[in-house]
Amino acid sequence: MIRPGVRRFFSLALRTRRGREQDVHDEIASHFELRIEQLMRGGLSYDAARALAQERFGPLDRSKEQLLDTATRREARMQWNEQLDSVRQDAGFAVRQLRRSPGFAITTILTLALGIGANATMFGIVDRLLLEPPAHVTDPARVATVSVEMGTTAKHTQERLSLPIYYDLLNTAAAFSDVSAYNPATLSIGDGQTAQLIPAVAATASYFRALGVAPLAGRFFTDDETDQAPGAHVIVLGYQYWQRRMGGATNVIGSTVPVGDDRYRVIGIAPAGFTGLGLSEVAAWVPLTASMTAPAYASQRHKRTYFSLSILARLRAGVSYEAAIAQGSAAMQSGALLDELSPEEARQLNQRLILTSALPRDARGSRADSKVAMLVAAVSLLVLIIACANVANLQLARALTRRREVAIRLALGVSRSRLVRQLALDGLILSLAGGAAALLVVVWGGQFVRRLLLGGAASTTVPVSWRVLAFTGVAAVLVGIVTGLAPALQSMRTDLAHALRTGGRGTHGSFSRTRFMLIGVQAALTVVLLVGTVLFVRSLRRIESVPLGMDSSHVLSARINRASLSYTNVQLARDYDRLEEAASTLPDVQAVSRAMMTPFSSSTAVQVSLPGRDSVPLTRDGGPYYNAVGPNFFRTMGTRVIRGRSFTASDRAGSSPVLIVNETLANLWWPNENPIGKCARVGEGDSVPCAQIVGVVEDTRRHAIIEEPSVMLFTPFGQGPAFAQPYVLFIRTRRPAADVASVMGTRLRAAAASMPFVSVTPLDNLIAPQMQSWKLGAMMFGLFAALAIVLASVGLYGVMAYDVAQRTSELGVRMALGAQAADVRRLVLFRGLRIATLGGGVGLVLAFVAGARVAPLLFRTSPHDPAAFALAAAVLAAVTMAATLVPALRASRVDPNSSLRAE
Amino acid sequence: MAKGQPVSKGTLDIIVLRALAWSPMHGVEIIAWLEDRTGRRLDLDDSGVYQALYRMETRGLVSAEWGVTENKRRARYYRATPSGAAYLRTETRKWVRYAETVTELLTGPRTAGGDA
Repeated sequence: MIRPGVRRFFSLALRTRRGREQDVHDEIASHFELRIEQLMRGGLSYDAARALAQERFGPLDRSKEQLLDTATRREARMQWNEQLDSVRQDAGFAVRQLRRSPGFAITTILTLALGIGANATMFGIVDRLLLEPPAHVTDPARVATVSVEMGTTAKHTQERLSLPIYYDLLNTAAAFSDVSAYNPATLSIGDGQTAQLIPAVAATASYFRALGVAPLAGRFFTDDETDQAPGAHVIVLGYQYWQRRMGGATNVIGSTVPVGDDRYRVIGIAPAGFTGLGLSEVAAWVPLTASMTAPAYASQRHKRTYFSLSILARLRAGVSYEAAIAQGSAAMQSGALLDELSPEEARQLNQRLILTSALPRDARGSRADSKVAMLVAAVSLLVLIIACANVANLQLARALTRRREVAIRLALGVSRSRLVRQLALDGLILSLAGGAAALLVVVWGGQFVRRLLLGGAASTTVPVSWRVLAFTGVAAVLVGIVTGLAPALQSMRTDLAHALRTGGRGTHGSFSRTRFMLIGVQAALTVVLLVGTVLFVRSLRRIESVPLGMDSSHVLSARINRASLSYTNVQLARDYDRLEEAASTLPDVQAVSRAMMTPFSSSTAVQVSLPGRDSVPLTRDGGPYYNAVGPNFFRTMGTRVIRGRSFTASDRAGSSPVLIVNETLANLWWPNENPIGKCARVGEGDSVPCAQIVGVVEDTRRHAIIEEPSVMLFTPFGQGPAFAQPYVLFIRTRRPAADVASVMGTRLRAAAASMPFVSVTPLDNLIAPQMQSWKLGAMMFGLFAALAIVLASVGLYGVMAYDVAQRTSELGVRMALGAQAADVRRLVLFRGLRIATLGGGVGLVLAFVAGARVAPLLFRTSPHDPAAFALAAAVLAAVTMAATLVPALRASRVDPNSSLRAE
Repeated sequence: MAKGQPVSKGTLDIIVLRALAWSPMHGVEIIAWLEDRTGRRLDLDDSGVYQALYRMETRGLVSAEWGVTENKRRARYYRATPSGAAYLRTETRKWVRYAETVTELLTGPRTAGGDA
């Protein structure tokens, strides 16, 4: 077979169209000559032979055209084949070359795997958080969650709303085609010891209508089943749960499952992947009112400030968000007026509705942790750039050692374009291998990051979706081109004669300039990452040290999951008594107390009147907020009593009514006066006795770490308004609550075996999500900064070591001329430090400029915090010293004799 | 002009490949070989042979290069590539099997095929 190169040589004339035509023409001419010759040998005259040849050939014009056509196709195909062939050859060559330097190949592939893997992981997370619409939700742009802006100037949003607001929107706001109230819930499912807690949602029937989702099997709720209390005992199962626990059997529909102390009939299965508007798995849906008694429902129905529900709504087609907000706000406000609220309550609710569409960028884009995820994704790009710089540097170093080879091949006549292609192919092969390895990083290493950034949604997220795969592929190709082409172009500048003469050694000015520039870039970006890390760590420290008015780290909350209708409030109160008794005898328990509301989770306002005053002053956050608590409540929570006393066991139903207030209330209602001994009426009606204030406690948080202080008061159980019921038991533990939560849960359940399921969670679990964004920022920046430091120091070390090796003879001369070892060491160290200083300086400027964008994500930390900048610079200097030390030492041990002899 | 049997493209390709089985040839040599072997029993224009050659060049079954004839004339010489030789072998086998089957059907004794 003719080798492609030879064939190319012969077919050169075929290149152009004109050349091709010429070729066909030549062949036809040659055919006629030879054919006539052949026919004349058979005895014909020239003319006869010519006529016969023409006849036998067929119509000349048409044949010629056909031949030209075929020739054109043939040429295109052959060129393509040849290209492919030579690419295949080059690829084979590149692979052989790489096999010869496995150290280089492995380092490069690992570096790229980390760089690309970090980016692909972050892309997957951003894709999930901000790009992927909620599964199975029809036209999510028209589905909105409803919240209310509270306070007049403070930007506090009330996300939990109340039943009256739900009914206002449902009954009078025509802008919505469906309005639904729902609540995340935890169901205990199964019998006795095999009972399990599953994440569920209690919702009205309109929930599924508003979302526009259809059941996979069976049906969803009807309005009758959810809009009256008690609601029907029916349950819709999530696909994953149904598959996992019931093996996907279709005959479960119509069967009953034990939920709490009751049995619920399975009526439908939700489609696979449906999680409502959230991202984490929902195992089941039950009617909103399934576990509500008729009296409880009736009382909530009129408690406008009993904030315990989430609301979502679907906008009617053609209705704008502005119109819907205006209508909804009006509906809510007129509802409040009809309710004859106190002026404070009315003013507090005379607020605008906020509608947030279910599109991921609206629903999650504004959340602090999503913003941090975006920022981190942008930051991961810096890691990739650092990785690319490293790889380009390695490639350059290799290109240097291959200079002689390149020079020889150029001298032999290999075209420069072919050589560039070959070197670029080298980079591409490495980066594709790096991309493949990056997928492993995404699957294994990314799991940790996904759990961190996505939380519960990590379980419903595929690590490598096709979009992540496409991203990785594109990133690998781009990286390959960038890292492969630069060294290729560099080596093209090779001065042939010089390289051949010196055998690839000797001066390497422009190479080394490029390499040092790349190191500078790495230093700059590393500094940016370091500054970011310090800023986020400081923010996290500061948010963690915000006084919450309680010591939440040693508090567990235990809750009786009441899921039976026959379970009355009287029983519930009795069971909390028993639970309290059981808990207080357990080891590790310091104090226990019942309460109605749980800080960071629920709050309720109450009507309060003061004798001789028309109204009570409030903060912008409304209120006054109220909690009914047990005698040990403040001790259990770690809330300081500032004045007076705490409640005692003798403060109970029938004893003289007492109150404890918070500092804000005391200062607002009785400025510059001692509040102890004053009295206030808590609750509606004139028959309410005036309760005496016996203590003042420090301010505690209602829902958020960062919120307006609010006016808050506490009564003992048995003395407050009729709706005061124990709903939670707080337990103060000797050891950190997170460590003992599961043990305590088991012990409590064993001690209270006859009770419904008791769930135990650390109070910190309610607070942690609010610190999430800073924690994420600190951890992710830290992770990427660490990665950057490793990559950059490996890069710096490589360049310095190479530099020393290249300058052995120069150093030898210097030493022969009298330079001391210390001088040489200093020379190398300074060289390293100079680059780090230049690069680091640029990095500090970059960090300073980028600071403005990060500022909103920080907490009480200036993005231009001098300490952060100083620390980043110091770390860079230390890393530089460490990476340069070994090459410097090696340089100082250069033996002038042997290095000069080697020349 | 005496009309012979028409030849399909695929068949022509195998025939031309057969001509190149032993040594490289230029177009007129191939045509002469064909005429010699078939006695012009096939209906075929000379240009058809070139079409077949170009077609097979595209498919990598033959390769071509300019050369010089014994009489010092320039001519394009074609040779069968290894894949062309392989193609010729399999196509020949197919053709023979096909021809044998059809021949047997058409000329063999007509056996009673009713009750087996």
